[in-house]
Amino acid sequence: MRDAAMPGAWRHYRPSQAMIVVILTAIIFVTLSAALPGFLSVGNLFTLARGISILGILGLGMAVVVIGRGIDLSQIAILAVSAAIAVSLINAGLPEGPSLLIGLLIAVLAGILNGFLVSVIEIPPLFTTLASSLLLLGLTRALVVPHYQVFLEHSSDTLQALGGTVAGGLPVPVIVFAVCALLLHLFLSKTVLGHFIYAHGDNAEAARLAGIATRPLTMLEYGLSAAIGYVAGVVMVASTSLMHLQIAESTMIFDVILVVVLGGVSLVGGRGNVMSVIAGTLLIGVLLNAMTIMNLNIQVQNVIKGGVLLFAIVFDSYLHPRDDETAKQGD
Amino acid sequence: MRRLWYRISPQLLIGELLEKRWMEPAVPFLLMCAIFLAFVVAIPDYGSIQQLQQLMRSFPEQALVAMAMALSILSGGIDLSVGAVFAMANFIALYLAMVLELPVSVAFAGALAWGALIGAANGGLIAYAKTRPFLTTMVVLIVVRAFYELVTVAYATDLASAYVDNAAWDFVGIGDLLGVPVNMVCLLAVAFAAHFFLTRVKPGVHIMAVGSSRKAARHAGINVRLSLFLAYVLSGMLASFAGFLYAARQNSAGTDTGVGWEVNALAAAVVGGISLAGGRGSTSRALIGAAIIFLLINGLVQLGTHGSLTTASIGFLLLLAVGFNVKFVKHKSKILQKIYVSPTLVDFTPPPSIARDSGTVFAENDRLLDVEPIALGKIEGPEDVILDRNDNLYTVNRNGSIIRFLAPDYEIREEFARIGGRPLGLAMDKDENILACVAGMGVYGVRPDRSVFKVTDETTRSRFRLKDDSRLLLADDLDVAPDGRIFFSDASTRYDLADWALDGFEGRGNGRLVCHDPRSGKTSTVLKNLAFPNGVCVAHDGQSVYWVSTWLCRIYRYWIDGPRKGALEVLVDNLPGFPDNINRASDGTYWLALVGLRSPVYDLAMADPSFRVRMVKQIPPDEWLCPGINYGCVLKFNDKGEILESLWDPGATNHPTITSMREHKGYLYIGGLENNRIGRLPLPDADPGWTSWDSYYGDGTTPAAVTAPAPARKAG
Amino acid sequence: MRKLLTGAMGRTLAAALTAGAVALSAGSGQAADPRSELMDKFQAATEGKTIAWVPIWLGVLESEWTRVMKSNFEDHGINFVVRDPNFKSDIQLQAVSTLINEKPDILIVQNPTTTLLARELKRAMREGIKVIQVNMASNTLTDAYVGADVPRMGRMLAQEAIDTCGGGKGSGKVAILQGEATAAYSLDMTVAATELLESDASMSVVSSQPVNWDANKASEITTNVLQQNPDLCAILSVWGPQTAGAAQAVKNAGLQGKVNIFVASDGQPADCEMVEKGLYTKNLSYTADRQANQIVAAALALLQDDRPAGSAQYAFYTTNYWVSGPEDREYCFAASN
Repeated sequence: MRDAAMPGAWRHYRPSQAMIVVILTAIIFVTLSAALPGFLSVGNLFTLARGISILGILGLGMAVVVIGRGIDLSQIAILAVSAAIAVSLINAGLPEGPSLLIGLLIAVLAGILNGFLVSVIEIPPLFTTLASSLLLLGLTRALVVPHYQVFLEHSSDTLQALGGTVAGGLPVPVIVFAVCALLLHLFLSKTVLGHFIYAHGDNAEAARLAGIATRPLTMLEYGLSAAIGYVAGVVMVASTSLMHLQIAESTMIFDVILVVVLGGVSLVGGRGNVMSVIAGTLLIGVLLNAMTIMNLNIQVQNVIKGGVLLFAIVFDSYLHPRDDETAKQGD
Repeated sequence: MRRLWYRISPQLLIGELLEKRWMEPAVPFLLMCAIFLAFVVAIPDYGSIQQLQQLMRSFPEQALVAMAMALSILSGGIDLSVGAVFAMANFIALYLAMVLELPVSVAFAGALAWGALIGAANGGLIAYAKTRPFLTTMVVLIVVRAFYELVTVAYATDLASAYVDNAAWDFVGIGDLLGVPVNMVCLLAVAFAAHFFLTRVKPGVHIMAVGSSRKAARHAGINVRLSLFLAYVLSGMLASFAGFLYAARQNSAGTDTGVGWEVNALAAAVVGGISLAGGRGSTSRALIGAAIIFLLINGLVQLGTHGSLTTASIGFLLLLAVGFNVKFVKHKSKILQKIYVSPTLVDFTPPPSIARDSGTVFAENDRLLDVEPIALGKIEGPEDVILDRNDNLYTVNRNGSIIRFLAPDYEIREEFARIGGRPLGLAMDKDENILACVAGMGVYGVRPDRSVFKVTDETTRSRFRLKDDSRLLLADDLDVAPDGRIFFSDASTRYDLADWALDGFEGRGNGRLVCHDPRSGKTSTVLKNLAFPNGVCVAHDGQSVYWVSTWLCRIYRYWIDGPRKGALEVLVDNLPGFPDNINRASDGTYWLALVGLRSPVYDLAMADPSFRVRMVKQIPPDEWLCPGINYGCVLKFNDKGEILESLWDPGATNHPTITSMREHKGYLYIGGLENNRIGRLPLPDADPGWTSWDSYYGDGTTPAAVTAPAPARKAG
Repeated sequence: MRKLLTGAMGRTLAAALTAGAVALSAGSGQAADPRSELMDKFQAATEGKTIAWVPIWLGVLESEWTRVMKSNFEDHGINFVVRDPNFKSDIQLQAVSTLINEKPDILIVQNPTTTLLARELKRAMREGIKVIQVNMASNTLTDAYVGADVPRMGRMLAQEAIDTCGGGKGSGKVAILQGEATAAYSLDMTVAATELLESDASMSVVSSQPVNWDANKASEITTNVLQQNPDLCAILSVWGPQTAGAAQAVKNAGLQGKVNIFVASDGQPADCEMVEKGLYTKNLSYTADRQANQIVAAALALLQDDRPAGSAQYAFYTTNYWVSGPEDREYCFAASN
């Protein structure tokens, strides 16, 4: 845990939000293991892990932006667009490596465009990313993917492996999530740039006055978010051989934000870390998996998930009361 | 031609336009008009009655949802659940009216109750459990949406086959009133009510106050929690009202109903220029924003555009519009600053020489060199001085007070009264009330018992002018006519006192001469478009008013009574300095203060407006070429317009910026806008018993007795 | 495109010449040739008329319909107007309402739900516009319906499932992937299939959920269903593209070949490819390209029908073909782009 990132309210032996979430997750986990037969089986745990790792990877990207006091509603759109373009290129006969690189490039460029609009033109991030996802989706559909979805017609084993499992049945997406989490953790806690992102989110004006180039930094944040999102996109393609642009219009982005915020990456910026994302992902994952085993349909699952989240939010605001007179918009 | 161009500069119009508060949503508003016009041109019959009706029928629901979102943003939060609440209200209304076949009123009540319920849940959590609005409403969105999907699937067969002929239902859905669709009428009514609520009704104003600053609202005694709660309840009800209208119009609860509407509503609010920080904006801006998005989509679809391009162009146009608007709002004040100053052409002829050996009446001398200072260091900025019949000296200071120095030695200083603003010119009326022109406030009076009263603070608003000039911005000097009318100058309607130099750079007729008639209580503008009218003095015969135009260096005479009533003439032209206050002298002539001296360079600048524009735009204010006001001079002139003598303080060591002088019992008292003293100069040739008050209101004979100042001393 | 244009122009020119010739010959009192008379009547009924078309969006299926209609109508000198609401039902309603005000001669719509356009379609017929509904009907009957016999498709899919899984040949567990819950196409097919399945004691429907035409959602739901029912025998899906997600989920669960996937398809190429790859077991194709030709035929028939709008209620049900391998490629149309 980064002590530097701890806000004052967390002192005095109060558990961090991530800790609360982890404890909550553990309680649910234990209860379910006892109550639901088959919940604790290795196969089920792996299914659980596979299901949430994409959400987790996306959450890592989102966390970077949110720590920098922004929000990226276009993450899923960028993911869909760049992955769909990469798949189209592979289908058109381009080798896999360059195709995937071009997809990454497009994702990063789109992220930088977001960062530019937010930091230089000064459009509120909520709106910027909302409108830019429309622009990206429309352009991609008009130029590259006319019918919203592309199938990966042929792929190498390497790419396929990304969506498969390694020996022992451990799904590869989980490994990808772990690697991403480790790298991001190192970046945020050990590098100067990582510290700058915290500074930027904590107080953008102070960061600027202290000499941090906040505009390029903002572009970096959004670029990172898009790039990590793209990794999730590639994993998605690897496991389903399909990219459907419609996911950009689903409520998935809200799930990502929830995962991030639940663990303690506050939308006011400068708070939380990779652990927070992992904690949030675990909670959501355990919940989803339990409900799947209980044979609930998607809608009921959403209702229950929402109920638990509301409880978590109220509980958190009870444990960590905030001064809403100094609270900032978007909090 | 050139003169005319500078006289009616379009810059003036733009500058004053930008100053208007309703210019803030100008960009979204113009964009909306432009989009509509573009489609009228591009699509045949787009502007036809039938088509307009169609547009009006399709628009209201989105607009209401946008208003719901706007309301929550204005309260300082956000309500992402509006789209889901809308969809669910749509279902509830449909179910009640179509499946259960209940009356429309029940469907309406059901939908609104639903909205209020969810609003109360949102508001309760956010206001009382202090949860975070973004997350809370997002989770509520997910839950309500899931719930909606559950019920629509469960009742899909019922809904798909339901088809009831219900006249009232159809009237809400497809009827119209006087050609305007019913739902549009509802929207207009709700929009008007919401605007009225947020700007005129206490709970509504409280919501705005809470949105602007929670802390300030609490300090003002507003129940912050209740206001927040109310905002979310109302937001939910607005969204569910939209759902009810939508149900009546569309008769359909599809899986895509309301999906992404919260996003559209958010976009509408931002495009309309509502600040996401809360408290800034209005419901009308949400309507403009919603209309922009609605018209764009509608028009593009009608043009037969492929769906992908519609999406792309909307994303692009929204970014462009908001980006431009963000920059416009941010830089508006800078643009305004750049173009507000609009100099006009002033052609001077070279002034008479003031050289010592020139032999002119203006020839420099040392007569003000040995002026005795009064109240040295005890006063700041005595713009004008006046003495009462007991010889007590009154003056003004920059803190907004009338200061009295007690006769006979003027050592005792006391604050006679506090008015506020920046008091400038003084006069005394028949009842010995002190009247003062107060910059930024108007004309005020102080009774001998020190109580302050307002004489006037407004005048008739000039027609055909964007800027509201009914308030007195820079009341400068005044005098009282024999019949009690008060004539005063309002030096500029475009700049306040601190920016007098900018008014000088314009050299434009921004000021006016105003008359207040105490008998009727009315104030009216007598002369307008005057270039910085400054000193005002009623002539000894009471038939005319002398006033000076500081930037044109002229003395005017305006007849207020007698055979020539209403006539205006230039009495003295081409003074060597910038004239300020005028006051009567004991010998039937007038004293005139010169606040500064003209210089050839400044005269040249006045003849070249574009030079002054460049100067104001390109160099910092402390480098500007300003009128030289660090020179002291007092002139004396008579009713014929002849300058009789001049008194100089060459180095301006004692009295720079002389703005006024007052003769009293053989002495001349000298005040200055920036000075730290009042000067007293004995006038050997003057009538030693003459007082200004007697000159105005006395019976013409010199008052015999100078009453002892003892009573006044007691007051000190 | 240019070739098409010149073709159309040439034809118009020819038509004008013919008309002139006819006028001349009529003037000279000679009896007209019955064959050219027929042509003249056809041209009088069709040329310069306007046909408006509002699909739900321009997906693969709709693009194919649009392509066929466009080429046919333009060939006959008919104005063809397309409005793309891009999957937004409120915008589709707007588009239809506006089109009714513009008074085309024929309005062709694809209904997203049974109720959304019902009232406007009635109004259109009152205004004298003949209305054709395509594939997805509404609660209002209009001049013509062109589309699949949806309940029959549902029964055919169900029968195939019974034949494969029922009577002890499989577990008898079937999952149904609906489209949109309130869309007639999805609703009718689901109801018919469910009825038939429930009539067979060896079959059980373990899940029947709408996936909103979305492959990702289908994948999610299928994963879910497979978790609970690893012995699932068949998946019935009302539409091809959405099923791709389900097929991938089955594949990821390692159940490819064990879970049979029967899909109602419009015959888009991707669906046939999925069958060829073995991801789908069988497609029931109603061949959108042939269906498009039926739409054209219906429109031409209505144009030549002198009766006012609303008097006819033609139905053109399309024939369904099973696609089970590369040899059935003819029942899929070629990709239009």
